[in-house]
Amino acid sequence: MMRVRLSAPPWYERPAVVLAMQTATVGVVLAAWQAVSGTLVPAFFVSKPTLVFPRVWNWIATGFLWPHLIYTMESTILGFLLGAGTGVAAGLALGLYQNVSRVLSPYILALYSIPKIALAPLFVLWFGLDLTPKVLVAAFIVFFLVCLNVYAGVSALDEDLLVGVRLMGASRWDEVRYLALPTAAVQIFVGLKTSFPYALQGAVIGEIIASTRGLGYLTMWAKGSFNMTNMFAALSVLMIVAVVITVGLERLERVLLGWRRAER
Amino acid sequence: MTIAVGTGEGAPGARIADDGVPRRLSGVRLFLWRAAVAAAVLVPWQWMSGRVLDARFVSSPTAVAARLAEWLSTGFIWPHLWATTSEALIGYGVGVSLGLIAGFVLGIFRVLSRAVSPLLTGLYAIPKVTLAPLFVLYFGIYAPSKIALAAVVVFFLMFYSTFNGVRDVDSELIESVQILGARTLGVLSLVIIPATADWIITGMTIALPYAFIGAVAGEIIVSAKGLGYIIATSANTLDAAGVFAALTVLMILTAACNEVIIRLRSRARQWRAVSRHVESM
Repeated sequence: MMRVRLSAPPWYERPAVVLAMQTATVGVVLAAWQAVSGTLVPAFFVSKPTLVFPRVWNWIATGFLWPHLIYTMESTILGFLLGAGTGVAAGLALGLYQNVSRVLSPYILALYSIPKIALAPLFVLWFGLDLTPKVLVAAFIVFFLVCLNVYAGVSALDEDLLVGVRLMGASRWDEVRYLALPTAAVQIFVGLKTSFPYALQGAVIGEIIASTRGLGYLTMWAKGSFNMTNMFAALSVLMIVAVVITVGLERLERVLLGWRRAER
Repeated sequence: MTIAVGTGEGAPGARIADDGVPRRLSGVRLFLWRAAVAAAVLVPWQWMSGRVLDARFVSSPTAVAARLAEWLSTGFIWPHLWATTSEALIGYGVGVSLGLIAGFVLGIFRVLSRAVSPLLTGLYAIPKVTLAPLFVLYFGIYAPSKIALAAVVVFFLMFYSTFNGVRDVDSELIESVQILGARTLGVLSLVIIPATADWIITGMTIALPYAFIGAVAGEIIVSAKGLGYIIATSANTLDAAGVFAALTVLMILTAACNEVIIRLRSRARQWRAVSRHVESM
């Protein structure tokens, strides 16, 4: 619904004011953190901004951060690709062959309900401390999200169209390419977009459980040595990565699916 | 993240017979196919365990079933099941309450929400479960850290649902009620709360599984009790039967939860349909 402004926006919604308020809020939070640390709360427990930010900078400058960051991103991207690829294929298959999906649906629902994180120790048992368990946890999470979204997208397909196309002699591949994919395209993209942050989550969780490298490992390393500065530094890096990913995906969605907004 | 999970009722793609008419599997035949799928997984697993695959790593259906029976008869499983469930539910309660309050406050006072939004984006983007080591440092290795983790996960989901719900309220409705003389409390009770009820219920139903995810994740990382604890220690001691048995219990627990949620959501949808109908009259 388009809101038409008949008058100037209220003072608190003008862009300059908003930006000032946001900066001020962040500033207040950081200042409060700095003030509380050492006075109300032992600095040992919460560290300070003046320690954490230089620590992050130090990690970047000495190159300490990069192997860990790259390790995490490797697991994330590989897990995402594996999960998304299999998820799209499975979603298409289930959507096009409803009888198959009816047979399998209780099993799929049961597997979907289980927290995929609970599978992480099993994967570590099977595959060791390597990249593989992290990729698998991420892939599992992504698989279910993508598969369900693709399935929903394909299920919306008009049955008459499908019957007609089949009667005209379409092969399975024709069905997919000319009917299923175009119908489900938007939903497929939504599934991919929402699942990518979960790939990051899966990779980091895998690292927390068993790893010698990566951002999740850094948080565990900080926890083990009770070093809150390192802990907050690692979490800050994680937050920056996550925000970059989220904002990037939103931009991508606006570019690819911008036409959808205009329709409303 | 709303995902429509369909079971294929009235959907396209049913098996097409030669005359082009779709034939849909149901009833006994459906049950037999499902049983066949289960057998296709369990039988090879049982056969391969000990022969092709090392039983310590994959266990076997019979061993897992025996372990489950043992757990039930000795009562071993109940304290752990209770630990996980109580951590998840308490975290859920805390997260929902805080999320509701924050969602309403920030939804109503737009100034606040604008000012705080970059902080929220940053906090929301970070995978909450990765805060687990931090919570363990702060809250210890027992239940409180798992409750805190579950609460944080649930909080964000609830907050966004409530916040969007409040923002979605048609300002015309608010204005009409204000013209009729309602003050803040009246506006709240007559317009805002009923209008957001739908969003709130949806948020609550989405958040419940995540409470379990938070609790189990916390238990796997460090714990002394609970299903996640059993999974982690069994894996560490090469006890695959224990891992699979615990996973089965977890699966039953979370699947039951999801069933409850699906029922609640269809109820909520009916309620919403009725209220929309009333609105349009």
